[in-house]
Amino acid sequence: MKPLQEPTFLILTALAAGPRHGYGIVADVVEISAGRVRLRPGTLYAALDRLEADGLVAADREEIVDGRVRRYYRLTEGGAARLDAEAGRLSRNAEAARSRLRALRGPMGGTA
Amino acid sequence: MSGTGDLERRYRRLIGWYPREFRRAHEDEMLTLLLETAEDGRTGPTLREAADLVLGAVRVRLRHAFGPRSVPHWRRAVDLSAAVAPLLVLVPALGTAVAVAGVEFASGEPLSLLKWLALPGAGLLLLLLAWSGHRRTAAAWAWVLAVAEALSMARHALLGGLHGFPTSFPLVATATAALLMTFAGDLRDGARALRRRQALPWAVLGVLVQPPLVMTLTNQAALWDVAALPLLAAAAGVAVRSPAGRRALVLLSPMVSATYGLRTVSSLVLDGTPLIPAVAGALSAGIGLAVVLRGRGPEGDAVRG
Repeated sequence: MKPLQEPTFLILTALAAGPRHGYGIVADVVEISAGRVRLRPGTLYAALDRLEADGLVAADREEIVDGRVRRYYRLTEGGAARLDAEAGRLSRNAEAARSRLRALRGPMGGTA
Repeated sequence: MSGTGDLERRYRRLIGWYPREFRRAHEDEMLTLLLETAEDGRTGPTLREAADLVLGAVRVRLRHAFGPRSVPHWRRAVDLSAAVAPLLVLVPALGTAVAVAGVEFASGEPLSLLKWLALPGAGLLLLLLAWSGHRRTAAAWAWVLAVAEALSMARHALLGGLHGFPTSFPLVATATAALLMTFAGDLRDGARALRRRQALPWAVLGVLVQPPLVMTLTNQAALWDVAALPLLAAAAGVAVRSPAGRRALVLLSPMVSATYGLRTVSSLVLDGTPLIPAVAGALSAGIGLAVVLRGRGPEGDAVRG
């Protein structure tokens, strides 16, 4: 399975906490990435359109706030499974890197 | 107009780059997000926002054009093109046959109709085979014609150099037809679609890809270009209103460009008449664009798929 791109991973992670509208996803992604990733509308909606077509997210409901449409998106079961698989893959990679770095620093850095 | 009104209008103009289907689903919410994240008092998008929206539109359009969801459109386009292709083999062959017979008649030479009707006859057989649904036989016959044309061209090249290159249209036409028929699903479906709702542009296309007859009758190839290219653009403008029609135009473009592309270039380079192709090109672009824009009404699907 092809690894998810970071914006896609972060969007799915944001939706794993519950349905979000566009602005909510952008704000949540900023928080998850500690301010490093700020999704722009063109990137966000191109990704949401693709994820919706792939069945990983779905429209949940719509609200009208101050005369403007807010559509909420939710993670589907397929989306949750895909995010779980990707999180596992990243976690295994990260653990392998940490473990090797520990081994590398052990003999070099001593016990200090 | 207020600052927010200006900003909204400019955002909407940028969102206009996205496909209609996408805009129907996301335009209002995108606009909401853009306005929510814009600083107070701003009257236009930033350069970065504009670039993000345009790049997003390109990504979405590419995915719609070539992604998994476009596969049914491409299948229909191959069927449709494979149904049209025999027409584009037959009609120019008929035009050539009539034109050559006319020249022979005028010069008092004995008529060699049998010789000149061989290719139209072959084209008619191809059309009958294709439209009656005998796909494999039609494809095999198209390959036979393509190989025969290739051998004929090779013989001419050996005898007289590459002088005959601009007249390679029959080879391009038969080879394209053979390829399309080889990969088509059901040719009867394509023929039915052609008769049902897309007959007009394809009929125009079929008639236009036969300049030899008009050239012989009028002795004015350049005038034919001026008249034919805008008509061709208008026909293409009608075809681009459906997803399968747009893709069919792409698949058939080698056949059309083999005639008009080479002729326009030779007119420009060899005859030294740059004005004619320039006028024809400008007219074509204008008329094609007008037809496309006219088809972008609320019920049209000019940019879907």
